Amino acid sequence: MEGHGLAVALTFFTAAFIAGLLIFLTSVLGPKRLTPVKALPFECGMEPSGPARVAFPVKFYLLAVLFLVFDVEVVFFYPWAVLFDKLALFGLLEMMVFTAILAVGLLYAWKEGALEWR
Amino acid sequence: MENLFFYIAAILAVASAGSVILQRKVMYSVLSLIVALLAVAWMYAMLSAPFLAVVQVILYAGAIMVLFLFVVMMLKYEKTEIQRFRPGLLWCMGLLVAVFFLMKLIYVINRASSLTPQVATLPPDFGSIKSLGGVLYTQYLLPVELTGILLLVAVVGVALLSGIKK
Amino acid sequence: MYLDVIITLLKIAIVFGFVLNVAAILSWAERKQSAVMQDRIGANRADVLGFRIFGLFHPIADTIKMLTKEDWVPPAGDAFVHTLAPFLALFTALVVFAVIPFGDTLHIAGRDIPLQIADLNVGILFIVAFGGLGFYSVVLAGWSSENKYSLLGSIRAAAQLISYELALGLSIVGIVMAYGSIELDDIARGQGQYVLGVIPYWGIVAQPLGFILFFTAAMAETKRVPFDLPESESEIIGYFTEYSGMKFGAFWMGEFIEVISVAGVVTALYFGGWQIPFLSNQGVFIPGLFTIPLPHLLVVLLQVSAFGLKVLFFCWFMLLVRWTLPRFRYDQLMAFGWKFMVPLALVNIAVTGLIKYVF
Repeated sequence: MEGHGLAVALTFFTAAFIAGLLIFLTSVLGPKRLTPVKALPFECGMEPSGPARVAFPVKFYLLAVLFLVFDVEVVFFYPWAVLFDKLALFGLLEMMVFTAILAVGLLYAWKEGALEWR
Repeated sequence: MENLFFYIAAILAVASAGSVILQRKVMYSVLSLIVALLAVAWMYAMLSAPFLAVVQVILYAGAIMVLFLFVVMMLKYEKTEIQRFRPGLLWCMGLLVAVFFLMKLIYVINRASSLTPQVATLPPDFGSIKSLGGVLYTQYLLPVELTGILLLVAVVGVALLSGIKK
Repeated sequence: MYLDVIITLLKIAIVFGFVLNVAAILSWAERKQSAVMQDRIGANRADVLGFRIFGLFHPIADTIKMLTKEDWVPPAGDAFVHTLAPFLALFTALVVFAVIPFGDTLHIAGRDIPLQIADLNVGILFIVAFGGLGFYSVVLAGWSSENKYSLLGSIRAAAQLISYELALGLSIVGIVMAYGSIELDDIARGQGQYVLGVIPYWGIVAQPLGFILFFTAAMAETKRVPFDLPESESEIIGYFTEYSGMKFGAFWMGEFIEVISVAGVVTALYFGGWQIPFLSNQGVFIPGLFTIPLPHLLVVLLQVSAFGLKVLFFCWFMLLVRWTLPRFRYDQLMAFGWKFMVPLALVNIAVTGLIKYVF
């Protein structure tokens, strides 16, 4: 890790510099002429209708929680996968139990209709 | 050099954590929290725990903050700006907790400064994914499986509470 | 110390130079290829002093145009977040190249230089982590624009990106098991072995299903057709509706850079990285028969070019897919991610485990 930390820092810096430079240049080079019509939100040339913020189904939130839970599972998978040769059958069985527990959760959410989009 | 990087990360973490509670706009609080979590990941990376650092980015900055963002996006815009907090019962309780926490902090810092720092030489694979997995899937197997059950409860709870069937 | 910094900066210059140039050329190639596939002539109008060279001046003309366009921030929106979003789009797309190895270790003047910007021992997880942060650019763009179509696009994008990130993460587990490492250079080196003495043990041989799952999920993460519901230019225009100038260009370029990074990771994980079959560090060899020695520098040069060519091939392949398939319907997209990709990725892990255990 030592030494590579510097390389990563340099990469971050260079990437930020490139991205920042482009966005800075466009804000400096372009003209600035704001007109009342231009200030309206773009809705295919029609007059904007209704507020821009609309309520969203709570289902998206449910999806985010499902993602979080399974993302934790994915992270648990990596150390196991690296060590697979060493853990052998024991590792395989213990991971199957772990996955089975979470699969029950996925199946339950599936049954409850969390994955249906209508 | 190492020290300089550490202080940058530390100042960033504290400043952005402060910004989380000081911002009036909820979206800015969320963004500050993301920066705070990334700064902590940076410190993990410097403390020879690269795997933990990356997991911090994947899970905290990448997954848990998604939940926060979803909530902010689902709110009506007027509700995403926090009103000025008026002194009341809640305010007093908050102050009490803050004072208690401050005293605790001072106590801990006092104790810590009297201890002599121990410099340990770390094994070369310290904090790597291999050494972590080796402990996780042998010695701490039961907690891992229990974590699975905890996650299952979370899924079932959310599926039930959101009441999608109705 | 200073030499290390200079070498690192050189590597960054090479990698980012390659990436940014290929991204610019891809913006032209995408138009030209769609034209060829649809029997049109395509982008060929930009000319300098009468020279058109197949329209290759278009990326340059586009850059000049986008830089000099009005940088418009919606007055009702949030100016800071509105500027932050395209910055993040470019930044997160670029940083993942830090861990993609583009060649074997180069021995020159008594030094060992790994041809990879940073040989981190978290490897592929670094890409998952920082590629995943690209999520914020999309969501913040839609949120700060104060336009209902932008918000719709970003909500769609958010749900899509997190769903496919899961499949992406799970599909990598198989390849990590096959090579017993999480570092991209170890995986690429492991692909230099041979099965039965003649078949190169590339990731595609070890993990055919894993490759298909990874490639599909990674394409969904780039938000391109057939997974372009966040953009859907024919219905909601997308999360960058309210962007102009180079800020729009940042999303546009970020998308092509993501295409290149997907091509790079696919090459490194499943198509041997820099490996050329029957070319080792010693030279060309036929297993069990003979070896023709080649100088080290030539071998490294060949390997780096092989990596570049493989990356370009997958970029081209993704353009081909983009102009072949129609867009998913939203419920199909989500069902495909959760009910097909995720269970299949779990099955892939179980099967890989069983095969590895039995043999």
